[in-house]
Order: sequence, then C-alpha cells, then structure tokens
Amino acid sequence: MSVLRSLIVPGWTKYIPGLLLCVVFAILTMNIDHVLHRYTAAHLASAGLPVLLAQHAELEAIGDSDGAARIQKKIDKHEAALQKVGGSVGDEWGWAAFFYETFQFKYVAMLLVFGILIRNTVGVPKIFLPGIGIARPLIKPGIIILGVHYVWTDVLRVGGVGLVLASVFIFGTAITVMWISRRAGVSDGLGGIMGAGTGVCGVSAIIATAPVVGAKPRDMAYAIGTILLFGTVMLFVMPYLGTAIGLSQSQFGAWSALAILNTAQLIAAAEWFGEEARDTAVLINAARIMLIPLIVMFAVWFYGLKGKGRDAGFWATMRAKFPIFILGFFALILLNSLHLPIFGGPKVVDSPFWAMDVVYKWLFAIGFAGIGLSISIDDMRKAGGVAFLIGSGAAIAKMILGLVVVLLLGTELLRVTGGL
Amino acid sequence: MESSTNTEPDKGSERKEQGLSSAKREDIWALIIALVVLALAMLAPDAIHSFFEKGLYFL
Repeated sequence: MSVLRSLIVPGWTKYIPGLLLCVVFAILTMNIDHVLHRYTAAHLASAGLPVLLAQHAELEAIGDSDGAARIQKKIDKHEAALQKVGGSVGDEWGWAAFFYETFQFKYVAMLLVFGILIRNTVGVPKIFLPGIGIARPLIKPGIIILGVHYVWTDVLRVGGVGLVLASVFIFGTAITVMWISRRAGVSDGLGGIMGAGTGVCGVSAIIATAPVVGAKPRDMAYAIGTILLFGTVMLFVMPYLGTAIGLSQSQFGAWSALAILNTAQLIAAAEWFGEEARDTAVLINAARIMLIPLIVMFAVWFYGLKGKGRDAGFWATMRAKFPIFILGFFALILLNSLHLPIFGGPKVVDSPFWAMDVVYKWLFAIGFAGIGLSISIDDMRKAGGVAFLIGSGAAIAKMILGLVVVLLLGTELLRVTGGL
Repeated sequence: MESSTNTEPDKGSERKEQGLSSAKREDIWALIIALVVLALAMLAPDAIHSFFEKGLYFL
C-alpha cells in the first residue's frame, strides 16, 4: 500500500497545466508534420508517376507480369498520395519537400526547435514548469510499447553487440574521465558524476551516482548542464553529419546510442534520422542503461568509498538503481517473439500489437515537447570551467570513437529485423 | 532522556525505505501506462488504431 501511496506525489495537480501544454504542443506539431508529409509524398508522386507508368507499359509489353504487378503497387501508392491533396501529375509542392526531405524538418526537429525558441524568447510561465518536467519521462512508456517492433533474435544480435559496445564505451569513458578529473584537481564529487554522466546515461547516471560520491548540488548542476548542452548540440548536428557521411539507418542508430548521453535526446536524434535508426538506438540504449547500477558500483570502488557508512552492496545497488521500465520493454519483445494469436503483431491488421504500434509516437511527441520546452540557455550556462572542458573532451571523443566503431561494424550486425 | 523503544528507530527506517525515488516512480508509471495501452488495444484494437492514426489529425 505504501508503494501505491508513493506513486501519487503530493500536490500532483501542479503537473496538469504543463502536461496539457506539452500534449497540445505535440498534437499541433504532429499535425504540421502530417501536412508536410502529405504534400511531400504528393510532390514526389507527381514527379515519379510518369516514370512508373512508362515502366509499367514496358513490362506489360514484354510480358513480365510479376514486374508489372510490383510497379502497379507503386503506381497505386503514388495515385493515392496525389488524391489526398487533390492534385495531379505536374503539380509541385517543392516548399513541403524542402522542409521535410531536404531539411529533415520533421516532428522531432519542430518540437525541439520551437520548444527551445518558446522557452528562451517569450518564456514559459512558472505554472507550466512542473508539468513540462514530467512530460519528458513519457518517453519511457513509448520505449516499452516499442517492444512490439522487436523479436529475440534482434535482442541477441543487436543487443549483444550493443552490450559489448556499451560496456567498452561506458567503462572506458568513465575510467578516463574520473582519472582526468583527479589529475585536474576536480573534487571527487564532480569527477565521479562527470564520469558516470559521460560514461553511461547522462542525467540518470548523475542522479544515481551523486549521493554515492557525495556530489554537491552545485556539482550536479554543472554536470547536468554540461551533459544537456552537449546532448542538445549533438542532437541537432549528428543527423546532418550522419547524412553527409552516408551512414545507414542502423549505423546511425548505434552511433547516436553511443555518443548521445541522454535517453530522450538520443531517441530524438535517431527518430529524426529514421525509424530503422530509432529501432537500433533503443536496443543499444537499453543495454547501456542496464549498466547504470554497475557504474555506480564502479564509482564506489574508484573513490574508495567502501565502509564510509553507506550501504553500497551489489544487490542493494542493483535494486535501487536498475531501470525497471526496461523489463516491460523486454516482456513485450518476448510476447511478440512468441507470435501468439491473442496479441498478433505490428503488421497483423486488427490485432492488439498492430494498434499499439501507432501509440508510441504520440508518447514520444509529448516527451520531445517536454524536452524542447525545458531547454533553457541559462541552464546550459551553468556548465562552466573544468566541468565543461572535461565534458566536451569526453563528448567529442565518444562521438568520434563511436563513429569509427559503427563504420567498422557495418549495417547488418546492427539492423533490427522485427522477425522479417 | 529515556532511550526510545526498539520500535521507534525501526519505524523511522521503515518510513525511509517506503518512499520511492523519482526514477522508480517514473518507471512504475511507465509500466502502468504501457499496460493500460495494451489492455485498451486488446479490447478495441481498431478504435485505438483509428484514433491515434487518424482521429488526432485535424489538418
């Protein structure tokens, strides 16, 4: 009963205005995205349809009925796209294609850019701030529901690779940052949480490690500010870099999961790049955040905190720090892998998993609205001095090393198949 | 001053252990929300799909 009581935070009504704001912001942005997508599809259809019709005629002339049938499906899709906007072949909607395809200005980018602009120009009244703070964690149920996209072979392959990569990157970064921090004369508190934050999962790891290493609130503000600043910069820069370098969807997903330190930001970057990228990023991130309890234990060992009156035993730490929502994610993967008729699958029309597959995006949208509206330039200014230098060095190193690794691994090992 | 009875320090530590951290609270709510979505999807998959795929788009 006490656990149930703990679920309801006293004064919970203060979260309602901000949460509603994020919901409205998300719905408006998804609608704009929908319009851009519709007109972009029509623009591409208008240009592509004459070519497809010519190909279809050629294939029919030579008697290739299979080839003609395949082209006919594409023709039907293009004609439907034109019908949706009431257009015809020859019409152009270049403005939509410019924003949506060329500039990749989709719902993720819109929520972040407009959110940051609103927060740092007109501002957000204080009444909305608590609710904006709890909108961000709505990405977690989105991640759980995304479990219907995967089967266990994906987890073993991509997740296995992810676990190895994550372990190497996490402990390598954490050890390096903690060692450099000590050499630079940074306090154990700040060094410990910078090591955890730049190694594992940004803000979650900082919050988990802070009490263990005795970090001061000012240290936490510096560390969180640095992580958020670099997360925000990489979130905007990496999708364009990934396109310029020619990364595949799954390579980008792995790269974002290794280089961006905050779950919400890395999922935003991957979703921005593409759905396949997001699927890979979520799996590798799941491997990474499961290591949070271990990095806390490592911090205890590194700073010699055993026996300082804190119970930092292995199982106590695991119980306290393990991100239990990930169990829901894996449970849905298991159910999807069993192909039970009662649940169906994401491609089985009228089945529960087919219905759930369209819900996660809305939870992500509300979460991204929360991220955009919560990024304040003032918070980022808190990342000053040594913390900034250590954080920037670690962030850039991880970005470069992560890129090298995903280029070497290639696409197939990182691709989520969903059982197909 | 009389020392407190054995039950007093136990109650105090019990109270500390009963409160959830905000991360744990978020995780449990995430599981609850996902379960609610699963339950609704099992009861009315077509309605759920239609609402989120078409109903929320007004432009």
